[in-house]
Amino acid sequence: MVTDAIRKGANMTAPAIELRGVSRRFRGATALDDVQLEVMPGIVGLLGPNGAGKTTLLRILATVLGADGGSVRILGRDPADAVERTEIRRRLGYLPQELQYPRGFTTYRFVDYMAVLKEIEEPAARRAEVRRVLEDVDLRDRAAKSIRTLSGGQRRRVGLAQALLGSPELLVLDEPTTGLDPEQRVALRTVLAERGRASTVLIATHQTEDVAALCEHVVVLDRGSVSFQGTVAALVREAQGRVWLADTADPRAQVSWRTATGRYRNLGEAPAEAELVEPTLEDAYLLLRGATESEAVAA
Amino acid sequence: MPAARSPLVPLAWIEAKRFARHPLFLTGFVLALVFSGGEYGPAELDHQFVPAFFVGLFGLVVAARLTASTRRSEAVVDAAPVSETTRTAALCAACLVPAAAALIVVVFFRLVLAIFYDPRPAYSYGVFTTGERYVILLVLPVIACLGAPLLGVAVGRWLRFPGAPLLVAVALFVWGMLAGYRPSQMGASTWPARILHMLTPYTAWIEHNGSGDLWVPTVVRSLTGSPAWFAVWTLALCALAACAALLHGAEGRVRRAVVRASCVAGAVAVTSLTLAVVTGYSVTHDSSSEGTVVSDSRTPLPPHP
Repeated sequence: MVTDAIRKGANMTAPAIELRGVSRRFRGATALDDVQLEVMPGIVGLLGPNGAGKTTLLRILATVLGADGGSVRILGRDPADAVERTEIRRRLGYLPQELQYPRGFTTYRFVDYMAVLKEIEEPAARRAEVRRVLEDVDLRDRAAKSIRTLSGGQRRRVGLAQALLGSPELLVLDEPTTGLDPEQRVALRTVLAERGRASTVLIATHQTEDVAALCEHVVVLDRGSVSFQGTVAALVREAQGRVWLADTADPRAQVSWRTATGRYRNLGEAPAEAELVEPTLEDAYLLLRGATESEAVAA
Repeated sequence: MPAARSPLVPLAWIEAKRFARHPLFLTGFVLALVFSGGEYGPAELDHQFVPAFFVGLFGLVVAARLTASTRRSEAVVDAAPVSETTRTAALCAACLVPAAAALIVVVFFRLVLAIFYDPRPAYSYGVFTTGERYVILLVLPVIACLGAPLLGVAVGRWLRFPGAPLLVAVALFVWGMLAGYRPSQMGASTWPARILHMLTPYTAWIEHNGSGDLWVPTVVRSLTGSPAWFAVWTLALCALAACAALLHGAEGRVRRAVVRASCVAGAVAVTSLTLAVVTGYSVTHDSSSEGTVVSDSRTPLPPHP
């Protein structure tokens, strides 16, 4: 796969995504507001609460939705230009949040159909590529099954398979692990980690453990704006000294919950008789969210 | 990196296979063969309706459904490099499947007649020449079975409400029936009636006094118009339907090319419609074993003895 990227001339030093002041509104509601974002090759996690604008942002990056304002450059090209948009699409794999399938397709036929749409025309090469991606998502034994008969997790993997076709330089995945069991999630992480060595993988998810396990960089989107952009380690560092284990829930804590051991995990100021613990990405994300909420309330 | 060749051929092949496997299309095709294998109707020239109805109108619904089916996955389909115009062109190319099926049906019918039935008396073909008979029996049904599915592709692209394909199919059927027979009741030789009789994607060419259990009618009334120019007119309608389908989602240079093609097809349609009205039969004729006479279309045909 690394050789694929080299053969394609994938530029691993230039930003794959550059957004400057991007905005998007839907019937008067602001989905994205002045988004500034630069994404370098590698695996990048996109976190944010429901309604933060993640899906809108990903649809813009997948070139299926235009921005109302600002500048968008994807793989060095402008998606507003029809010719450049096609060039982007040739190097793009996209898994939307909700993907439905045409009736009457088997797994193989749907992925094969998508392979044709991705301009993999030579029949032998197409067959090999379809088999490869079905293998990647562990669906080889379901190739001849009608998609209608597959489970939710299997259907999700069909969507992933089509996104992986052609070893794209940019993979845009909206909640790829939804509906997958733990083993499948681990298997998918392996596939994506391999892809991340040669291309840019942007993963929007609510699963902070996926981001912690896979991503070097993370972007946090809140109310249509980027509230954090940096390394996962940097985000976790922001929570250093602010995560405590105590016997009781602290009313002053930003967030507090009872853990499996019966003790309470308190995020924020130090409660009485509490034990300072190492923060996780989830702690850091929740603290960031709490701070953003407070700022919004103050504003 | 994938080759930069046009994906139209492999895509058209996939769509053609989807069309050929569609249960509704297969049902229509089998019914058309069944109705062509026995004593269909009392007059040979009436057989043209069989493929047009069972393959053409069923094909319209099938084409619309195939077109709309990928709408469910449009989030990923739209993010692929192959444009909507190319995908639509592939669906249009797949409409050759019902056209080929119609050709099989009309050839099958001719073989059945040739093998199992005595030749029809000459008057049962009305005033139409041998060439015109072949246009009516062989060419027009095939064009109808190409054009209706092409219209189905356009319907699938442009009309998003449930039941749209069925509604258009019913409208097309009613339009064909009204334009086919209503002009006779208006007085077929008048200009409005002659124009209305051709201003349809499908029309009737004869009326007769036979019935389902009487193979040979005693009187056949030939209606107005030119079958040959009508074929050109319906071909132009096919092109217009394809252009309407291709226009959806087309942009830039492609859109301009489709608009230009639509203008050319429109000009051909107007010209051929005019010629179908002007150069064809301008009055109705009644043919029987006693000969052919000019008739007043408003006079009912005599009952079968």
